Amino acid sequence: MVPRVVARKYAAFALLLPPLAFFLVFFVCPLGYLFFVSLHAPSESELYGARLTLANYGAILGDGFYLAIIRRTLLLAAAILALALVLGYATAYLIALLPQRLRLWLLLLLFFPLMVSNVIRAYGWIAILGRRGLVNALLGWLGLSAAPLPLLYGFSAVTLGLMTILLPYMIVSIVNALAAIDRQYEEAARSLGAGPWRTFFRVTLPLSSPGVASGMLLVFLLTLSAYVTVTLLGGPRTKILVSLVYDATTSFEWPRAAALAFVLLVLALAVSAPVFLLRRPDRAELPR
Amino acid sequence: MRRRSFLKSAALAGAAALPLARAGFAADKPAEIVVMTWGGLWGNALKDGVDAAIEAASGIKVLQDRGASPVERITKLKINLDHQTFDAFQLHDGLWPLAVKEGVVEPIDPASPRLGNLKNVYPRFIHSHWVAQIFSAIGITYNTKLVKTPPAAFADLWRPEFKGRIVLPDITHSIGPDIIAIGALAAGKDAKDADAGFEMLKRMVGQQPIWVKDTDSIMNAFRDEEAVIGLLYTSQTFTVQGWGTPVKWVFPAEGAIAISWGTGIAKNTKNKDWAEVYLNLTLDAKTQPFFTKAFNYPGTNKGSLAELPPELQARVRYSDDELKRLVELDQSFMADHRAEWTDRWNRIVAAG
Repeated sequence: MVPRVVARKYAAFALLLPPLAFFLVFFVCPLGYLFFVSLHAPSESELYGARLTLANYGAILGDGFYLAIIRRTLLLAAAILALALVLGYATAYLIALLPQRLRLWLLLLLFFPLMVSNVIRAYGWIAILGRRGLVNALLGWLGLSAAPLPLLYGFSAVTLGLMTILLPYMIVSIVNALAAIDRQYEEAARSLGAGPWRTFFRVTLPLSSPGVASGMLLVFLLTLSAYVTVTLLGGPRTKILVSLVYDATTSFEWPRAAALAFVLLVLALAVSAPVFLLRRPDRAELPR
Repeated sequence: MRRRSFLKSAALAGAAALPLARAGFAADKPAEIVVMTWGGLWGNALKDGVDAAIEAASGIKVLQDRGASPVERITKLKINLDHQTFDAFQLHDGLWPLAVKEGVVEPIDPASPRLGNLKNVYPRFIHSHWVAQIFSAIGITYNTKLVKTPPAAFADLWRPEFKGRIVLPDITHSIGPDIIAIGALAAGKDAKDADAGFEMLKRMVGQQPIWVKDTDSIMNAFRDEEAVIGLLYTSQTFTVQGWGTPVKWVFPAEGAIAISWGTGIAKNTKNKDWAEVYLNLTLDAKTQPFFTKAFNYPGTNKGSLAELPPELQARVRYSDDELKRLVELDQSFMADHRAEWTDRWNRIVAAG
């Protein structure tokens, strides 16, 4: 007879098996194939040529143009991350202080804009930021600008567009972490003489760090893979790595597109690892 | 079905019935055929004209796949080659050489009994692997209220006063690579002089144009007055005029760029005979006016113009002189250089 503990282990494994199999078949295998494609020369008529080569990676990593695009991609991600973190934490802190029912309603409201497609949202921004858009009309009406300002098709328009999509992810992640913190820890720190800032940096922030880290990961990874908003609000002068992946597919340069996708993946992993290490609730100086 | 739609279908069925009666079919009649095409007004015109005609004549329903961009259509055909799920597809002239090169389109059989309309199509629109159903010209569109001195040539796009107010298709747009040929023409060189074209592109970047990915965005840029000048088809200029925007189309001194849209048969389709019937219906003098009415595009069937009301005929007809001055770009040459040009274009425009 199988002992109960062993049977439980098998049952747990059996439960894990379907998602694991799904992950293997629909993610790991295609990714492996993508990597295989990236190691080939291009072909005029086939998906990829017969010759194995590292030339696609060499062409990307040894070329100033691609490196400039990689820098722009990281800069955009960093700008969004910093803004989302500062604005997101402050908002989340206030929301976390509210009674649970009100908090839930506010979080629901935060997600309302996400129910609209990114394409529609981007066209909305075009209507707002365009030459004849709301902002320029308001500036003109107030006499603050003689001619319409070019607010679209640049880094700032993309940042604004992406922020409105990604900020809720950051806020919700941090609110959940903050709401789970026992307020007695903060009260204990204050009663032991710590000021509000010290309490925040020594207690609240470390305890909320898992939420901060998951929010940062979500925002960073979603920025790296954003395409519609970047394309519609940024135009070609704000192209990032994803844009070049798309361009390579439109000219049937599949191995180059695959290699660019892998460079993007490596960037995502390289930045995600240190963000993951930010999760340090053990750093909080809690009364033992 | 409303009475009007019924009568329309009945007339089209009549048009289709004769060739169908004589055509021998190798395979059983399918319940439906799948056609990859554009959405919006185009897809609707196709549905009301061609799809309705084949359904009325044969009972075959047409499933339109409108979800893929023109380039993505080629990709979808390519990955389905072993088990083809598509029967026919539509592209503009610039992408057909790529479709042929990628091996996703069947050659046209001019002797096929199911392609009877070929004899009524102007020969310049019949190609080895596809046949155009409508055509237009790319020239300059400008806002007559905001532009003081009207443009007369492609070279005028580079005039300093248009800085920041020019709308152009970006390199991933179907006609994106045409800007290189247009730049070369504007510099007084041959359309295939890519170096001259890219030099002009560098100068154009200094003009800070609005680069857009699709034709609707070009039209919207005119409507919203983001742009006062840009590249556009004759036909869509009429559409923008219809929105109340004061725009005018100019046939450039260097010659307008000819462009046509048409249909090919998906490689390895299981319903090749019926795909031919479908293609034939896109060339019918009775179905082409659906597109002319929707877009102001003239049809490629010599008899299609006669099916239109006189004022529409006058609007879409090109003069003999204009037809002579239409520039036919070497699409095979451009397709061969598409990857290289995309890369060069990105280095100039996207490098910032």
